[in-house]
Amino acid sequence: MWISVPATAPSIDVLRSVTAVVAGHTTLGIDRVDDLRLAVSEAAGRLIRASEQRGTLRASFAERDGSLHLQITLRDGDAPRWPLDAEADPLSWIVIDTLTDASEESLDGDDPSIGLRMSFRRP
Amino acid sequence: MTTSGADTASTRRARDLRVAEAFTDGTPPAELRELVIREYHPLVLYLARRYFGRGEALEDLVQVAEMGLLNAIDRFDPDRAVQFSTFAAATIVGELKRHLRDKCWSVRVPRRLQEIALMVNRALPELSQTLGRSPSFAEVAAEIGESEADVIEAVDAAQAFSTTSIDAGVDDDAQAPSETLGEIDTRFDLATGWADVAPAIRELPERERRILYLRFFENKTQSEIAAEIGISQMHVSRILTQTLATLRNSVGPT
Repeated sequence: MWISVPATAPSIDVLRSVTAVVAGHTTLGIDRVDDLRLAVSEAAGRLIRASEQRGTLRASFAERDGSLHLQITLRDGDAPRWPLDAEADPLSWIVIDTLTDASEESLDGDDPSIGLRMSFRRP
Repeated sequence: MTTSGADTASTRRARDLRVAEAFTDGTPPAELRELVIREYHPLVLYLARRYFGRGEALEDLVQVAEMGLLNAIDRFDPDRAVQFSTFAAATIVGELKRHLRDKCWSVRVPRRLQEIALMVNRALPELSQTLGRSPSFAEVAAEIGESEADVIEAVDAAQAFSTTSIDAGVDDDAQAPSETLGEIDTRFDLATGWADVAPAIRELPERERRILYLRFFENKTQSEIAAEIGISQMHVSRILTQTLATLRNSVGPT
């Protein structure tokens, strides 16, 4: 399942709500669903800031290997520098890194992307 | 998620089945859109009415909800286990909330969702204790006798909007803190990555500072923090969301 929204700050609310619904229908605890919502906000914000609100964000959800995987990718946007790495915009990375079981900035083809993983059982 | 107050469960099931078939049997896109718009018009009206009475005309809300439905058609992946109606409702509610947040700041959570959120708040501490972990939405829904989708929506709405009434009645007496504020401030000052926002953290109210510390330095779960501070998990969630937004604003625009 995926959703695509404009890479603008107001879209973060839509992404948070859809994340809550998709993650809420899994066996993740309420605490962890909320952690993921916060992480999604930060990940989306990171991509939006990197692209200066141009392009679209595509968030795809997949359940595999005992985890919920979420990939948020900036499309048709221009992020001059990616990956940002942890030193740039450190607060958002701390939030993402602390609240998820795994997180990674990568390039999906040429598109900047952030992957998040939440295990259904705590590692 | 309830799709229409007037529809029976069997009507909804039949509609979901018709639409699920249309998504997979090669129905031409234009025909599929027409079918979905026709079949889910009651859902559009129902959700638009839920958010009526908050300063926006009903016809505007219906338009926003219709836009949400169209977006849901474009974005839906029929291979996933989630029903289209669930996905569509989430997308529509997301669009409505975004619209209302942009247009009117006095948005409040619909009463029915507030009631469910209140039940969740009451059930969570004991359920968490019994299970020894944070319960899933399905477990909470079973405990309070509501649908999983309604519980998800209620918690999402409660976390997004001002819901003082939901937090009323929860014991607000903070327990004796194990760390002094001075110690907490020092940890933030010295930790990698926090330096930029350390001045803003010192401006936060004591409870917000402590919750941030417990989540990000002590790695405590929201439920554990809720028990320690003496407020609900949903309240902890909202405080964390707002606090992170405050810190974000302190270092630059979103």
